Order: sequence, then C-alpha cells, then structure tokens
Amino acid sequence: MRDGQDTDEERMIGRVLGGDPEALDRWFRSEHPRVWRLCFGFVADAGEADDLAQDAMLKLHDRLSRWDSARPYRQWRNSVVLNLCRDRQRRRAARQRAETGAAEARSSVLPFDPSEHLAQRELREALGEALAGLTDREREAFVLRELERCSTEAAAAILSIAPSTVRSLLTLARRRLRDFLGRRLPELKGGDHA
Amino acid sequence: MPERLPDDPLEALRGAWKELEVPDPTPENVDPETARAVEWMRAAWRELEAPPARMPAIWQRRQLLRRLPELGRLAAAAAILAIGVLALRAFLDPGPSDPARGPVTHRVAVVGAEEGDLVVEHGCVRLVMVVPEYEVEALDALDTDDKEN
Repeated sequence: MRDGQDTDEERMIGRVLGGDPEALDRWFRSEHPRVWRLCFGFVADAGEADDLAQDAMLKLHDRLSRWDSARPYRQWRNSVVLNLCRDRQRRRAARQRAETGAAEARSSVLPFDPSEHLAQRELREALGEALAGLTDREREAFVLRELERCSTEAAAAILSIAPSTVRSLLTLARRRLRDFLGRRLPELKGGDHA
Repeated sequence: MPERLPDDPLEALRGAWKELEVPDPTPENVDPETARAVEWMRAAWRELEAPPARMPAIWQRRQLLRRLPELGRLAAAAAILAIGVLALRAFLDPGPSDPARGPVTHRVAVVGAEEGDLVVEHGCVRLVMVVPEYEVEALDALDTDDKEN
C-alpha cells in the first residue's frame, strides 16, 4: 500500500531521473541517513556502514531507472541495500568470525535509556555489539521488522522468505537480544524499570 | 453432535498446517525481559544518527558536465550583454568633462545635407537619413506653391 511519503519520493525520483541536479541533491540528503542506518543494522558495524552507505547510494542511483513503480519504493530500496550488505557480509565472513570472540569478551554495563547517557559513538558500539550477536538472517529480519517497522509481509518480501519464517527469525532474534542485553542492562535483571 | 470428518484427512491436515502460524512476537506476547531488550534496541535505534556524508564526487562531476552547455550559454549571454552595455556607454557617455566636446546633444553634428539626404555624425556613429523620393517631390511641390503665393 502506498502512502503520501511514497508518492513524494516517487515524484522526487522522477526528477532525479530527469537529470535535475537539485532533486539529486535533495534525494541524496534524504536517502543517505536511511540507507546508512539500514547498512549499519544489517552489518552491525558503523565503519563498514559508512562505506556501504556510499556504495549503496551509488548503486541505488544507477538502478533508479530500473525501479518498477508498481513496487513500493522503500521496499525496493531496502532490497537493494540488503543485497549489497549481504555481498559485503559474505566477503568479510572470515574476518567477522575471528572478531566474534573479542566482542563477547566486553562486558561494560549499559544504561537503560540510550538517549540520556550514550554519545553517538557509544550508541553505535552498543547497538553494533547487540546486533552482531544475531545471525545474519535474524539481524535482517529484526532490523526490518522491529527497528524499521516494516510489516511482517513487507519484511518477508524484501528477504524473499515466508512471513512465518520472518516471525520465527524474530522470535530467535528477540531471545538472543534478551540474553545479550540481560547481561549488560542491570535494569533488565531488576525487572522494575519505570 | 461430532463434527463431520473431512473426506481427505491428509488434505485437512495440510490445511490446518497452513493455518498454523507462529504469532507475531508483539510486546504483549513476550516476556518482560525480552520486551525490555527490544524496547532498548528501539530506543537506541531512534537515537542513532547517520554521520554527515558528502555527495559522491562522481555525481558532482556529472552534474557539472551536464550543466556545461547551460553554463556556456549563460557566459555567451553575459558577454553579449557586457558588450552591449559598453557600446551604449560609449555612445551616451560624454566622457571626461571636456567643454570643447559639450553635452551629448551638441556633439551630434550634421556632416552632410544634400537634396533628400541628411548625414549626421556622433562619435564613431554616422547616420544617413534618406528622405524617400515621393516625399522629396512633395516637398518640392510645396516649395513651388509657396513661391507662387
């Protein structure tokens, strides 16, 4: 289903495709933060997300003309970003395995409310560590469904899996996050957070 | 009264299997610890900011290249305008205060006047005004009438 934002984006994309430099500038400025967050969510690494987001923006721009407007733009964009991240993930899989042990060794305590206590760098580290504890598929489903608030069906379409599989992945992801964050968030253990 | 058994139990089982779905793990149907972990993730995600990024250099070059013809046209138009302004100024500007040259209206000089033609000069511009033949004849006729009267 389309909403007003989709329509606005489609209009802007039409102008980008028409070679309007102002529209390209606006499209880049509005899309880059979203794409960066997706990249960060999928790869769980802020440094990697910087490079990936630049590559993803170039790729999206190159493929804009091939976007089928019958499909919601954001869904198409998320698919392109996801595929790029998966490619990159495959290449760095070996390195990631080696780093997993080091990440688990850290055990600093996190405050409950991220907005009050964490600087952006720390926030990225904390989120990155939490997301890195998930498998690639769990992370993708969790980012799309829980963090980006896609519907289960939309997440399933982007991931090319059944909605029931998305739900299973979400259940696993939530359990893993509970275990991981439970060790680091003192309030979670207390169970009485206001 | 017992429910009627379906004709094909295997098909019924398949149908029931399709209906069976893992429920969406909403905050209402997960334990409090899990719900809080997810809530922490969401709050962190909301606070997460993308670092500032510059538009890829290749796009900036492409934009510049795409604008080259337009920039060329603008430059040409600006040049034509500048030349026009300079020419107009040269035409109208009395120049440094030179009493000998006088104000603009005085610098227009009649350099030649023949029957039907008038040549005036202003700086480097010379204007030849030609009176059409029929008007010359009409003027001659008027002259003749005046003399006769």
